[in-house]
Amino acid sequence: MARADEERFAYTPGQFAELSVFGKGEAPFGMASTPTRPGRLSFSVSKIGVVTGALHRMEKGDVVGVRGPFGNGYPLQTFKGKNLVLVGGGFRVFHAPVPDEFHSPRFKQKRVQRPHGDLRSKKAGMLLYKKDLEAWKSKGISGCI
Amino acid sequence: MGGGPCSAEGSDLLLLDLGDRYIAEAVSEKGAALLEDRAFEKSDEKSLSHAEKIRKQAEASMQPLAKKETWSRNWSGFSAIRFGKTWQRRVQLRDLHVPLPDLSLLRSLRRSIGPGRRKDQGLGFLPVPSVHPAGFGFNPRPTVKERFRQRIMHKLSYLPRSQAMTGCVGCGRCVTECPVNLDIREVMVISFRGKCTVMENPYVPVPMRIEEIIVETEDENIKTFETVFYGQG
Repeated sequence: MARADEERFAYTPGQFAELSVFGKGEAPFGMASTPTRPGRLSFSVSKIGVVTGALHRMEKGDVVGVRGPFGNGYPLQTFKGKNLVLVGGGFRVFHAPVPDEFHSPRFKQKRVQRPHGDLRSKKAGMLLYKKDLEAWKSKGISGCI
Repeated sequence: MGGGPCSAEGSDLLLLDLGDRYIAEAVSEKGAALLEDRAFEKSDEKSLSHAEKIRKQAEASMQPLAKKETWSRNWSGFSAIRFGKTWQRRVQLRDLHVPLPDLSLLRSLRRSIGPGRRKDQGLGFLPVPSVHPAGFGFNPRPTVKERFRQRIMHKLSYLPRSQAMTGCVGCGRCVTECPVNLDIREVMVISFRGKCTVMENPYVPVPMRIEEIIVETEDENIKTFETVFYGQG
């Protein structure tokens, strides 16, 4: 069952899923994980409402429902051989999957060159994935914070 | 839609690609006149048999999900109970489900109230709270379920019955351009089968267990939840 679900949940960077909490409801969230690690999904959630509040009260081992993937994702095939500049709003833009995808062996074969990201946040405390940012720097992804 | 890769309906001349050349078939008198041009040569038996083989291969590779003439009958059996499962495939993005005023319902509502009273009561006579004053209508399909049903039934059931034609031209753009990645063909298959299970429907929620929770910000307002499919890990 779990294996069948995993195989069916094949997604690309940029897609999203509906995350549901039993008895509270469901809401859309972008996947913060990389498709190159099948079987694991990450969601970064800001506490702003009923569903997100219930999610924040959950603990390790609790069960949530996931539907998806939805959306069309990024057209990765068209990135081949080009320098990429990522510009966007919201903290989801700089989720780990995009740089991870760029550095996967499969993607390196497509010779995507030097992705650039402009990394900013409204407040210093709002900057997410600090460990990832350091890792991206070591991999040669340029960005300013 | 009843057509196919070698469908000649509405054409004057049908060209079939044989790889290194085309074989042309006149469908109408205009097409026959075109074939008399010097650009065309008379085809031999070998080319005709090769064309027939390609034609059969192409048609075998594109089997229709449902026959055009059976659509109306099948959709009429698209019961509300079954909708209760299939409509959940739709993403609940509110912007995609803006209720539109249904003027025919509004007119019948006015008639039932009477012309003299509506002038005094204004919009207040509308019985549904989710009124859109700008559109001067009320929402007869308040939930995603009713709207999902209407969009399918409108094209594939109501129009075939009232106008003897479907609202679908078979272009496929609703599938390729759908912002929520909904494939209406999958919905048709599920509906015609009359069953909808978790294994068949990837859009029914699947359980996932929270494996790790990472606090991203100092005020703990943003957390990242690492989850795995239930039964793994």
